[in-house]
Amino acid sequence: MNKLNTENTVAALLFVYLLIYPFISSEYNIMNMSYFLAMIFLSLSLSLIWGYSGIFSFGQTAFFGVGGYAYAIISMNFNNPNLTLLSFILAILIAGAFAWILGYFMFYGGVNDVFVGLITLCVTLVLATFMAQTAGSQWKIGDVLLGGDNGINNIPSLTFGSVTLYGTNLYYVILIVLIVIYILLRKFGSSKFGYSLIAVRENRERSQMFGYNIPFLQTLVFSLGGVLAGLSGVFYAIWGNYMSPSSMAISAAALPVVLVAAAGRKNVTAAVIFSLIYYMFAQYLSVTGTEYAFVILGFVLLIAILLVPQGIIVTIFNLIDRYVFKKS
Amino acid sequence: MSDKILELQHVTKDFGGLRAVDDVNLTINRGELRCLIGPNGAGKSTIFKLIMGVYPLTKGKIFFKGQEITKMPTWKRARMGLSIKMQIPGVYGELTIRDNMRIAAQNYVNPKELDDEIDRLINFVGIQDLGNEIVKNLSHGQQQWLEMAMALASKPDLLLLDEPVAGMGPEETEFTAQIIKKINDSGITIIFIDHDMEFVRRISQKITVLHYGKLFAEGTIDEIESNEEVIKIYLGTE
Repeated sequence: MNKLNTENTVAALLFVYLLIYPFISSEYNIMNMSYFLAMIFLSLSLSLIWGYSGIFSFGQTAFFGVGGYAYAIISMNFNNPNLTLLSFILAILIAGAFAWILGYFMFYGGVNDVFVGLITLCVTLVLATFMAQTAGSQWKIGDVLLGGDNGINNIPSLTFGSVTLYGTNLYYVILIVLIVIYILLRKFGSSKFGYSLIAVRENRERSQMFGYNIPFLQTLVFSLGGVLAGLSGVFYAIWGNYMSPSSMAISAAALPVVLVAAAGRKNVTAAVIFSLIYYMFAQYLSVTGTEYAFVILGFVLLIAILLVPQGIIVTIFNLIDRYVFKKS
Repeated sequence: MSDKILELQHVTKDFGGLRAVDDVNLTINRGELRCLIGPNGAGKSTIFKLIMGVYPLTKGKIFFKGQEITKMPTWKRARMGLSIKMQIPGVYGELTIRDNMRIAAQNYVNPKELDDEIDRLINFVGIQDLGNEIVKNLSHGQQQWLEMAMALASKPDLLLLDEPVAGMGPEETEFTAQIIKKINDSGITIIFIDHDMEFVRRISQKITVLHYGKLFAEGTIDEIESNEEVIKIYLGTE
């Protein structure tokens, strides 16, 4: 019964709810929920690199953008539904490779802590600014126009054999990938690699004296974070058949940081729940302007940092654990 | 196999205009229990960090088990069999004792034997009842012992102990002395730094004296204590 605690109970209930969601909801809501789930990978990517290994990155939306654009460019150049799965895989690998290269130069160059945040923010903004000015007909890769601020439209949906993923099909694919990755991340926390990352997070100088190759571990986890963020971007592009530079802009870049910090950065369940609540809330407010959600979220973050620096969701988990599950 | 386990040749380290370690030649043989002493600022801890590769050398060479390690990264030196207990306890304060031990041991111990090895080591240093305690809540002495257990988890050939009894009372010091003797008796070579001459006399076979970054004297405790130059710079003149 050791595994019965608030976090596991809430996670189980949430995933059961998400699994039956298509049966109790409209097609419109299923589409919206697919988008929310796709965006959760972005928060998980930051939870992995910041929560587990202490690397503070503002660059997750850069990898999100690289993933989304790579999928768009590759799949539209293939122009063959049977090759969308290959495009999907290649796009995620490209996002991971991009993160590896950036991580390699940072971590083997001895860049750490707040400077990683600054560099990744710069990379994100440079990428967003660059993509925003690719409006002319000279900016194309193969047959695909990059489209500048307007982005790329008509990105093909993912196709498995004769099934094109759309609506409920797409929802379940995103949900199942999310559940698998969530379980892997939870397991990973108690694995050898997970402990290696905790060693990196807690004290880099000391950990190298226990035989940890710190720059390698940092680069590796940073690129895994890039893969997850890239996956988010690819799912986003598939979901909306659209990709634009605004997905990498400053407010988009700050959002995963805010969500993960406010939820509790060392806890992936907290990141999933808080991200889902945020996106549902933002959607709810979208009729009067999504910025309201940002104002409220900013306020929540301020409160969180002042009152519960370990995170809102984590604090709630701990309180319920103490009073309901009688855990210390 | 050579008797030498560690050899420092003309090791020099400058920090800007300050020469912290100055042309030090030092040889440590397998099985030794060597003590480094010297006034504050003599370069003792810096030498440990040079041996571990935390700082690059300005000049000179370091050999470990016959292989030059001068430019080898720290993590590789650790995997070769070098281990250290730092002056300020280098433990992970936010984690439990068992988690600290796991991080220290998992690169060297078969996963199936990890729990048993952790039990053995924390038992060896007398903190077996505190396994699930968060480390920042431990006393200074307990943190020192934990770090010693962590340093042993890699099954090192050479263990560096930087002030292992600093801040300890007489009973804790005596217990630590017994631990260090046992480690050495198990075949692990030890170099340690300390200021407590009673403690040094209690456990050390050979002493190296550093002064202003230079190797000043070397010998048994009796030779060092009767060396007038050493008395003048370090042990006091009365």
